[in-house]
Amino acid sequence: MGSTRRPRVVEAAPRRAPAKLEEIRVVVEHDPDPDVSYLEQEDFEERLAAFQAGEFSFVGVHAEADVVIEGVVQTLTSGGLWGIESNSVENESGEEYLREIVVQEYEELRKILKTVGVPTSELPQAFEVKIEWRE
Amino acid sequence: MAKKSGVQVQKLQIVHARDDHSDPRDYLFQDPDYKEEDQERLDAFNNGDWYMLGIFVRAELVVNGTIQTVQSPGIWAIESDSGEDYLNEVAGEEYEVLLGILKELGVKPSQVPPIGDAKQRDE
Repeated sequence: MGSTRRPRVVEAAPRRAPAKLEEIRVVVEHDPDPDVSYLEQEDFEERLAAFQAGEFSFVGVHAEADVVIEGVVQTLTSGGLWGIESNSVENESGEEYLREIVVQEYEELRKILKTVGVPTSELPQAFEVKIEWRE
Repeated sequence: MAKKSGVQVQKLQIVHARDDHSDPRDYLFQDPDYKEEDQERLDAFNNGDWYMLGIFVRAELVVNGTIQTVQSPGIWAIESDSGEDYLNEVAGEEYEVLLGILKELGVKPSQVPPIGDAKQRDE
């Protein structure tokens, strides 16, 4: 006679996320090594003169996140977009363009964070991410 | 089929970083019997004969096509003229810590270069 075994139900412990998001930001900073060769093209004389007169410089934008992995804080970043004319993102007219880059960089970082195991529930919406201007 | 990790280790470095936050006076002169030796040690430090060091292991990773660096927290306040065996031992311990971090990211120890392949970098 076969005996019937009562199935044992064991509740699995909830899996801890491998990486915990601590802070996320998009950084706009001075680009110390921009490729300005495009300013040497024909029809760019005025722009080149403006650059040489210090009327604008170049910046780079990247998203970065502090995540805690095994108790150690690591900073992960998006690839970044560099060689952006500073006056195209600085003033009010550049707000929309800056926001476009912010979203692009944030989305890239979001994918990276998902890959390393940050729960999507911890990831803010792009418009919620703070922008940090660095010297 | 094994789940493929989206994280690949590209490079490994053992970093010897100058530790300007640590001060040998924090641990010298604890024993009056060694006051003279401790003074000599401090004089040598002030003379730049040795300095304080932090050692950690850094991995360069590729995640979704973007290079990232992760590193072990490091052991700090190490005397720079400690023996090579001790410095290697610390690097080995830090490597183990880094393996734990990488494991959380889905990287198996077999996918990480051995510590012997890591280049030393002074910062």
